[in-house]
Amino acid sequence: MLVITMVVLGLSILIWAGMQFGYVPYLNGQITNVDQQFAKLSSSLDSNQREGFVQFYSQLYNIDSLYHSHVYGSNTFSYLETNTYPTTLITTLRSQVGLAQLKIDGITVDYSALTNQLDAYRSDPHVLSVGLDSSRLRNDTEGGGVSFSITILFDGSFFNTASQ
Amino acid sequence: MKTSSKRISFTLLAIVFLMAAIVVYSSLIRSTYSKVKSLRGELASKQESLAHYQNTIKKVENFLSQFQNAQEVQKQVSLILPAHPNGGYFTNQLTELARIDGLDVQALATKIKPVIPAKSGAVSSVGSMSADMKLSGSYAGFKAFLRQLENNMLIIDISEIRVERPQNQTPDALNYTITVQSYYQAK
Repeated sequence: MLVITMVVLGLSILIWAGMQFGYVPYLNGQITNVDQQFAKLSSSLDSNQREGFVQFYSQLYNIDSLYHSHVYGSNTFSYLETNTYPTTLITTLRSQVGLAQLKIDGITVDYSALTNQLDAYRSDPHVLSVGLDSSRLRNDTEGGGVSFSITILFDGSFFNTASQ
Repeated sequence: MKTSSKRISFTLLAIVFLMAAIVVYSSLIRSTYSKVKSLRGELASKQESLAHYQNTIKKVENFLSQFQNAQEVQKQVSLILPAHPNGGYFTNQLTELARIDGLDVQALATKIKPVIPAKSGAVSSVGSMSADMKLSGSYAGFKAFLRQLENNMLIIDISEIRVERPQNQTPDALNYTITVQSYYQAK
């Protein structure tokens, strides 16, 4: 029994010493070796090359994003050409592409023509609303007819695709 | 020494050895083993990262060798999205296109807007320049001008258009005010 316990104690001390003075330093050495390989790889790329690569990649990425959000302000005119009656004269227009909003000042022959004109502007599927901001009957010295101001609101996709 | 006393001494010694073995196991072997386990885990994770990193570096080096031969592509890309704010290039595009479409430039002002940081840290941010421009000329010319701006190589977005009918001029010529934006690659 004494011999067995002596062997057990001896083995315990041997196992501990093997791990503490053999295996642990070996693992630490392996980790240091991997760290050195990381450092060597990091310095293998030239910093100018790396900067140029990031710059080029960023340009391509940003061009793609900008084309996705590109807007076509000229859609305003194809819309007006399609939906404005010959009896309506536009004197001023202001198209705010970011707000998808168009403000028009104009003159038409009478209130019946104005109503028809508003309906025509409303008929486009991209139009969310057409608001008559103001209108008044012009006297003969001004040339007659009805002057008006309207605001047209479009949906978000109106300016995002080029019209034919 | 009697045999019984010897036996008791050996038994006590055996108990002492056994207890010493237990102490060595519980206080030395267990703590060293947990240290070994954590070092092995660290080594395995670093070796895996190194393998990924080596693979990535190899791909980047391949791309870079192709990239060195793609100078012409880089030039074209820089015409679409310049690598720095280039006010001269921007105003030149605006005034030349206006001239080609028969429009008179009455006024032109540009300004550089604050850079909005990119959402991803991996890419550089985009900066923008805006221009306010007053023009006059035919309606057909103005429409052609807008279409050319929209399809221009340098990316230009039209943010506002204002058209007015002048009081005392030929009915064919209208006054236009536009606000446009162009972009560049910020550092």
